[in-house]
Amino acid sequence: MPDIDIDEIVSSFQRRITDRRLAGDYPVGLELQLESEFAGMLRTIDRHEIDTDQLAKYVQSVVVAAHDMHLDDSNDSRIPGGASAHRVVSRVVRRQTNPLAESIRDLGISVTDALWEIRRLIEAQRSADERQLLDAVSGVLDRLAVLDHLVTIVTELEQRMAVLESERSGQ
Amino acid sequence: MTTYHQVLVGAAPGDAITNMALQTRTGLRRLGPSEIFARFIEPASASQVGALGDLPVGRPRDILIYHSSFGDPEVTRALLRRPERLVLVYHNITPAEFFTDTDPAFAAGLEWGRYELSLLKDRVVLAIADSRFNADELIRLGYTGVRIMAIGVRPRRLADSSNDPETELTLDEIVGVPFVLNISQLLPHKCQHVLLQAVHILQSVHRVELGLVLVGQARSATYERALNQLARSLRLRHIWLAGRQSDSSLATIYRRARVFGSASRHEGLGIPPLEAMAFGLPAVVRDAGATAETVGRGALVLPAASGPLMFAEALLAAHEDDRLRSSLIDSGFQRVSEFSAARSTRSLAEIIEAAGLAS
Repeated sequence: MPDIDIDEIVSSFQRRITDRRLAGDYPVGLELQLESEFAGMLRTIDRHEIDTDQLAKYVQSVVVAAHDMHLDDSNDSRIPGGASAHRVVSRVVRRQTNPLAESIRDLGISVTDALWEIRRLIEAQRSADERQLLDAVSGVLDRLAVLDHLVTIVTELEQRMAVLESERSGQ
Repeated sequence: MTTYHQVLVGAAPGDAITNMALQTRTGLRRLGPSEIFARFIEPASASQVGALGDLPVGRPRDILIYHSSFGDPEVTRALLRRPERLVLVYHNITPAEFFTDTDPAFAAGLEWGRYELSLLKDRVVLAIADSRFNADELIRLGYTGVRIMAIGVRPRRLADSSNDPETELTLDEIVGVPFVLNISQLLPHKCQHVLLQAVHILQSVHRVELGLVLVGQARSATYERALNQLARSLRLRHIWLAGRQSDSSLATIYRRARVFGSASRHEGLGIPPLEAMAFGLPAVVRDAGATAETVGRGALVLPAASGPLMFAEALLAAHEDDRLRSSLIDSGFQRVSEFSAARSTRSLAEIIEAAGLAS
């Protein structure tokens, strides 16, 4: 096996982390900060979003089902003279069921329209959310830019102070 | 003639369990007719895997080999109704708690899978686990005589794959520097975000230009989006979320990688670190599930509680410390040889024969 002691190497990593923390390379709470930032991202994204593509497939299936709705016109019969009897019965039944089929087709069309509208609303909401998020991010970036500017001013002031102090101590 | 059909819950190209079933089928066909059937089949696998509903009715002397990794009530019902003798190959079921918050439906499937194991226990004539970790889980559920065997696992399977020029080009354009490689489905418990955070520490604190390539299907859209957002917010450079890749592309990425890293919190076996070691990559992994058992002393195994700082230190050392690198590479090769000798010398067909189940 290798001429290295893996346990000792892992311990040495731990010692290095401690040293770097003391030296200020690894800011205090860095890991916690990274973890909580990522947890925040997961919480923001995880909103059990509706799959609008799937919704579109449902809409399509309702459209197809409504379109394919028809009565079976077959009047075949194995009984002699049965076909004409079937035709008569079929005509009577059709008189009753045709309006029903029409109503169901109309219902299918209304359901389709409603589902399309729902899909459109979901997508509009999603796009509005993204716009709001972008607005918020841009606000934060503006504030960071102000902070950045303040840091520059403070640094300049510190430099001027240092110059003034050195001049004073030189006198 | 006795049949030796295999049943999976889902089949997809590149999926480790589907690959194992395909590998195993060749050996099983030596014993008798053998096909693979699954409840969910991705179109690209449809030419090699049949629908579970098409599984022909068997006889009590036939053998049905069930690969367990997830639960589906339809599959359980089908298995319980069948007359064949049942051979269980347990690949591990991820604890449901990792998904309760983010994907409750998937968590329910995992819970069902564990429950299914207890339902099938009395029907199973031979139980095989691909790691000691998995075997212990079956034993806790009351299974006896569990054999440990990483069926169909060949860490060197990609060694002869030629390089894919398109992948080389993409690596040059998107990554362009030495990189850490992780191969795993994008899922919260695989903790790819820890690797992103570690690379952030390397790039921002240590000023080391080390990239990161994440290969694997995004099984959780939420987690994938969070990873992308994390990469953007940390202003990471040289990052490629590559998705699922072909074998030749994978071989190319293994050859070009600098270090293999995995921060996964649960593994039933953990094949990618072994494949990485077979390509001469130093591997840095977290001690979770069966990972330490699989990699042995061939990789840097970090404590289970390790965070991005520990991973950053380990990846940095594996990248820059030449002595450590060469030791890890050597011990990795050695581990691959040991693993291959200990686990894969016998095929599933041979185990079935040795158990007196073949006729």
